Amino acid sequence: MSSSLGEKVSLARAYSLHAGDGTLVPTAGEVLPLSTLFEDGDPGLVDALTFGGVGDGNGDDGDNSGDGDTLDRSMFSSQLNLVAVVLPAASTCAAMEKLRPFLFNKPKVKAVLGPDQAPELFEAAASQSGAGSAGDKRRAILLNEEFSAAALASSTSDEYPSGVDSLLANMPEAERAWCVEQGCTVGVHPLVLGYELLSVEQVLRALIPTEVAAEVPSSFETAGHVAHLNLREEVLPWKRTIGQVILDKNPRLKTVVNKTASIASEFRTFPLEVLGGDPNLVVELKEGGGVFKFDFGQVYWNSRLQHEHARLADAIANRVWGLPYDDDAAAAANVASVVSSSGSAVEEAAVGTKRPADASDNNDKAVAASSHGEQSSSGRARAIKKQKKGRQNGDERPGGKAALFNPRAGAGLIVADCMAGVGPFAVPLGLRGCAHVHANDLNPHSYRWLVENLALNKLGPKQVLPYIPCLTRFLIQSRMYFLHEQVSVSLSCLKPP
Amino acid sequence: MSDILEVSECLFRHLSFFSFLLNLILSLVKVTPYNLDARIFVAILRGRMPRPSLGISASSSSTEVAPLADYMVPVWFDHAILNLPASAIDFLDAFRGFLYTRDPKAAHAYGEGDETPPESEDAVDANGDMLCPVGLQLDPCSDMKESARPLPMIHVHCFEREFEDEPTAEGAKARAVARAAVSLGAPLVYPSSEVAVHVVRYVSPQKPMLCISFRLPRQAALLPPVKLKV
Repeated sequence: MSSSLGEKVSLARAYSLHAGDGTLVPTAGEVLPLSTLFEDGDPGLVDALTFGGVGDGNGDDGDNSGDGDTLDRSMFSSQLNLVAVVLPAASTCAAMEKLRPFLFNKPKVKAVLGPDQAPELFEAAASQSGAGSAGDKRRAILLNEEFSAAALASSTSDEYPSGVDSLLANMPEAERAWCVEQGCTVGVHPLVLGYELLSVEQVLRALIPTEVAAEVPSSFETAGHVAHLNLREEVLPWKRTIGQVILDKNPRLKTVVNKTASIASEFRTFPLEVLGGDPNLVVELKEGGGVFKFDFGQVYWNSRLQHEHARLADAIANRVWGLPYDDDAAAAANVASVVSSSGSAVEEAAVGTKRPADASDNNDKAVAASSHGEQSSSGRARAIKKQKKGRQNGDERPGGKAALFNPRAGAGLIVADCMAGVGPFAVPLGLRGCAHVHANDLNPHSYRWLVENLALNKLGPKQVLPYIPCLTRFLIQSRMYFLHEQVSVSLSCLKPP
Repeated sequence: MSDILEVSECLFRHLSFFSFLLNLILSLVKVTPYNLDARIFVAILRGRMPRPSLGISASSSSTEVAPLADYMVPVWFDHAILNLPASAIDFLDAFRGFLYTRDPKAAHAYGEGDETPPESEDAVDANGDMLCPVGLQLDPCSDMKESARPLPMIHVHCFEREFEDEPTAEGAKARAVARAAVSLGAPLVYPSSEVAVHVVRYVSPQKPMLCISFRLPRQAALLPPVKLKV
C-alpha cells in the first residue's frame, strides 16, 4: 500500500486544468473539483495522475463487514474560486442573456446566488456602492471557471484583486460597460463542490482502478426500492463501495443487491447478496394499473418485462384474438365504459379470429344499440387502430400512474395463468374486468405474495363475497353455466329422498 | 338401518353441497390463486383431478363422504399464459386432451388410483378424431357443440437463439414454433394467420425472448391427456 486514498486525491487536487490548451498546470492556491477534470480533460490522464502505478490500492475496501459506511465523502469536496458579478435583482435576466458565454454552468449548481447564500459578496457590494443601495434586492451571478481562473491568475498578490477593472479585464468591452452601467460590484466567491455533485461513474472512477471501473454497469434494474446489479467478478472486491455510491446517488433506492449466481433454480429465483442499505427486500411497486408487493429475494420478478405484461394483458382483455363467445352483456359492458384503453403494443391483430357464424349478427346488434361502440366487440379493428394511434402519440405508459385501461374490457373472459408468479399478468387481467383468472405458481413464496397482491388490488375473496346472493344470475351472466348446472344438481341433492 | 343409511347419505350430500358452495365462493373471486405444478393446474381446471382448495387430496379415502366428482368441476378458460421463458414450451403437453374431462359416471376415473385408461383403447372415428379415452368424456361446453366457445388461445414465452447469418428474427421464431408444436403434439404452421410470434426483448444480442400466441389446435385438444404423476 503505497499511499492512502486521501493522499492520492489530494495529489489530484494539487493540479488544475488550464483553461485553454488542456494541459495540467500545478497551482498552489486554487483547487478544481474532479468533475471539472473529468469533463474537460482527458480522464485517462487524471486517472494516471491520481492512481499512478497503484492497482491494488483499494483491495481491502470491499470485503469489510458491509454494515459500516466506509466511504469518506469529504475527500471529494473541493473549492472553486469563482468571479461573481453582483447586480440589481431586476437586471438578472438581462445579465443572464448578456453574459451567457461567461456564466457558470454546471448541473445541480445554481449560478445565481441570493444574499443568503453568499453574504460576503453582498457586504462588499453594500460597502462599495454605499449603504443606501438596497442590498437585499441584488443577486450575484457566478462566472465560469475558465473566466475566473484567467482573471484570478492575473493577480500577483495573495489577495485576490477586487474591482470591476481588474476582475472583468478579460471581458469584452461591451459587456463590461453594460455591467458597470447596471451598477455592478464584483467579488470572488469560494464555491464548494462536493460529493453530491459527482455522478456514480465519476465517483467510482476516482475510487477504483480504471480498468475495473469500466466493468461497472452503467445502468441497473430496479424493483421498488431495490436496485439489482449483475457485477462481474473483477469488480467484486469493490462491491460494497459500488453499492454505497449507487445508494448515495439515487435517493429513491434503499437497497442494492447483487446477483451472485445465474438463475438455476426451479422457481427461477437467484441467490443474491445485499451490497448496501436496508436489508429488507420486500418491495412495493406499481405496474399495469395494479399494486404489487413481494420479497425480491424469494420470487421471480423482472421489471424489464413490464411492457410485455401490459401488452399481453391488454391484448387479451381487448379481445385482439377475437371473442371467445358472444355475450350481449359483455358487449354492453364494453360499450358502456369507453375508457381510453392503455393500448399497449398489439401487433398480432388478426390471429385465430375464428368465430361462430352467428357471432357477427349479435355484434352488429350490439353496435347498433350504441352509437359510440368504439370499444364494442365488433369494433375490434377500430379499437386496435386507436391503440396504435395512441402508441404513436406516446401517451401510453404501461405501469405508469397515467396508465388508463378499461376496467370492464375483459368481461366474460376466463384466463388461466399457469406460471403466474406474484401476478404480473393475473392482477392486470383481473383489474381489466376478466370474469375470472386462475393464477397458479409452484413457488410457495410466490403463491403467498400472489394472495397478498390479490387482496391489495381488491381481487380477493372479501371483495366478492357480498355478491353471492345473486349467485345464479352471476353464473348465467358470466356464462359459467357449467357451475350453474352444478348448483342445480347440488340443490336437487338437498331434496329429501 | 336403511333409514340411517339414507339419512347419513343425505348428510354426506349436504357436506358435499356445502363443500361445493365453498368451492363456488372460491371460484367467485376475481382471481383464484393456486400453488401447483402447471400440468396439475391444467388437469384440475379441466376437471381431471380434484381441487386441492378444499383440503381433499386425491389419495384421501374420503370418497364416501364427498364424491370426488363433485370437486372435479371442469372450468373453461379462453386464454392460457405460460410465462416461464426457460421451460414453458415443455409444459404445452398439459393441453393435450384439453377437451376431455373426467366422466363422473365412469366406474374407474382417470387420475384416481391406478386404473388409468389404456392408451390402446383410444380409437379413431370416421372423421379422424380421437374417441374419448376411457373414463373421460368430452367437455359439454367444448366446441364440440356448435354454440360453444372456440378453443383457448395459448400464449407461451420462450427463448430462442438466433444464428449469426440471420438478419431477422424470423428463423428463430420458426424454430420456436416448431419446438412448441413438438411439445403440443400437433402441427403449428408458421408463418400463418393462426400463429403469431412477438419479440418481447433481446436478452442477449443473439437471443430474443419470444411470445408465441396460437389457438389450441383441435387435434391437440383431442389427443389423450398426458398421464400425471401425483
